[in-house]
Amino acid sequence: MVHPVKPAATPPRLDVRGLVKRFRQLTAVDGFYLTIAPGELVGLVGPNGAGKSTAIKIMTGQLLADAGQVLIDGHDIAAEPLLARTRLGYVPQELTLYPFLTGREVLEFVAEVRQMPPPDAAAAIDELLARFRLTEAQHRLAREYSEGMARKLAISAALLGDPALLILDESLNGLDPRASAEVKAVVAARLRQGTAVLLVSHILEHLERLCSRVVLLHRGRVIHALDRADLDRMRAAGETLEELFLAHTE
Amino acid sequence: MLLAAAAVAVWVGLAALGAADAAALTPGERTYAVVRERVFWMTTLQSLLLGYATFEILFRAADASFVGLLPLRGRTRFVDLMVRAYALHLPLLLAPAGYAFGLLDAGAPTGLPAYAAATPALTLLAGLALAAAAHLAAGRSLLSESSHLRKLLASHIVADEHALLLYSPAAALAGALVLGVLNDLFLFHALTADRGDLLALPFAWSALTLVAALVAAARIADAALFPIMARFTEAEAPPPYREDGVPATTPGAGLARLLPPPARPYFLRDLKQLRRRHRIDRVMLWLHGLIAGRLAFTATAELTPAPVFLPLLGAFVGLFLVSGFRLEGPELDSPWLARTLPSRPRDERLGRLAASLIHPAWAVLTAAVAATVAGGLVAGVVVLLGGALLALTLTWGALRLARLARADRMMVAATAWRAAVVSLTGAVLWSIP
Repeated sequence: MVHPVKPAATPPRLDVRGLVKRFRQLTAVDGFYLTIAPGELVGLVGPNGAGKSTAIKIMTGQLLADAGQVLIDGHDIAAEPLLARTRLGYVPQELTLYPFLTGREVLEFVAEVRQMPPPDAAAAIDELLARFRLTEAQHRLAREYSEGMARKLAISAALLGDPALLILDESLNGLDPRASAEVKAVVAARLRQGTAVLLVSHILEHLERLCSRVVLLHRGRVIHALDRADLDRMRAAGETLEELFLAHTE
Repeated sequence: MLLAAAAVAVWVGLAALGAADAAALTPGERTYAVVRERVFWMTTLQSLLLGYATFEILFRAADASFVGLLPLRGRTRFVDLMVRAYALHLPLLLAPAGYAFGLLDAGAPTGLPAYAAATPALTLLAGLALAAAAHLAAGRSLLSESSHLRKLLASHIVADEHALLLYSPAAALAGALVLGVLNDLFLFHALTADRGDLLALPFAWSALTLVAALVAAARIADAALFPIMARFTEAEAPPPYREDGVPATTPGAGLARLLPPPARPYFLRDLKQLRRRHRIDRVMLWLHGLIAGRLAFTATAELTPAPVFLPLLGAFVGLFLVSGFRLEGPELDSPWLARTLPSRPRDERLGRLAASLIHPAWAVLTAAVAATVAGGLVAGVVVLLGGALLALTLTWGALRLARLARADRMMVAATAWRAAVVSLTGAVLWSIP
């Protein structure tokens, strides 16, 4: 679906440098490096407990690293959290929306916090609601949304304000095929505009088909990074990402 | 830490009150009216709590969906839930125990502290079992066809088959209150009026109620706890907010203009959510107004308005109109948006404080008007200024405490807060001559 062009001269949208996070005796993230260029869709995969969630929490400013640095569009998430978050859109695995705001009000709130000019915000909200077929439900409270609708609303919220980096944590889960196709189409459009996307998923087929690069995380560090050419070669040879995953994460 | 602090505050406050009451007893007095009134209110307050809290524990335990999948007997799960119910409620006995200790320590006749401690204790122990039986019996009705009576009881507020669940907390409260009144009557005469022959009766019927209710509830649980839970989950599915949809405007939203622009979205978010989720707050405001109005027209000349209206205002704001625990907890918050949007904490706190102050501000105004009627302009200004300070302190304090508490322990923090407010208000009111 996506064939991004990597402009070499532009700075990376995400630059993770030697991230380390320890919880007492446990080293959850152990020297994690990752760079994502504009317009690049990178998949992050790893077994349970590999440190993905911890790494994502540090990248989104929810946890502080013991060592290392995360730059989002050139802004350090720990040192310049406001600037970095302005450039970040994030959809977590477990969603909790403000239950007594309507879908539209949730988006309006996010747009206001992101300090979007009201006319631009209204236009962007209308477009996203229409794109995700939520226009009819926009005045219903978020607590009345189904899981799929809530996920589409959360993705819409993450896309408001044109973030430079979009982190989608298992965001295609719980979506029916139509909704999943809608999300993929919206993400593809954003990639063409230069947004970088980090897709965390356990559905390896998604990663194989969609991503320009797949990174395999194990015991807190990257043990494999496959670019599009590697993935195409694997497919041609009849190999799958699942086999690679199983072979390297014993 | 929080609970321990609240427990110490309750104990110290009630012990001091007990000592003060004991010191004020007239030598040879046999009616002990003040002590009886205190014991009555302590018993009533705990009955108010247990009626609804037991319902929450039985039907809305956080692990219900997980445990429901395990091959457990209904009776086993019931025992587990009842242990939780007793563990949660037993600390309530700290209040009467503290009061009884104060009485004893100050030299009151020994029967009096025994009465003060035993009445709430017996009522709580049996009342919890009674409440569990009432809730499970109401829950069992979910499994049968609706009847004419239930249709009548439901009155279009809930689905017909859920009608009895609507009334079971009130039934539990009524049962506990009846038990409390009987215990009070017999224990008082047995322990303070030389009627030792009556002493066995309250113990006997409390024990009988306890055992009978537990056996009945356990039987229902064994036969049908998990089907009841499944039907209850259906009843819990959020219905559409209102038939005519969400109103386009929110009263008070225009006040956002008074705030700095960065704080406005937080103010509007919290204002809308509070107004839609906690519609009962407006009823509480009316109730506060009615009580304040009644006090305004009945206040005696020798009673200055401030000591009357300010504790009333403090109790209302502190118990019913504090929004911190609702806004900071899982009920209305969206943690991932809160943590990942480019928000300035200062703006968010200001917006949240302003939204939380709307209802308390109305209560302050009502109290000030009532105080003006009762005691003149100066009294009104005193209540206005004092009330504003009190409302601000309580609202800010609750928000601060809620921010410190863990999201999954918000209910515990809110309970500790309310216990502290009740103790403080009680201590202030009781200290007024």
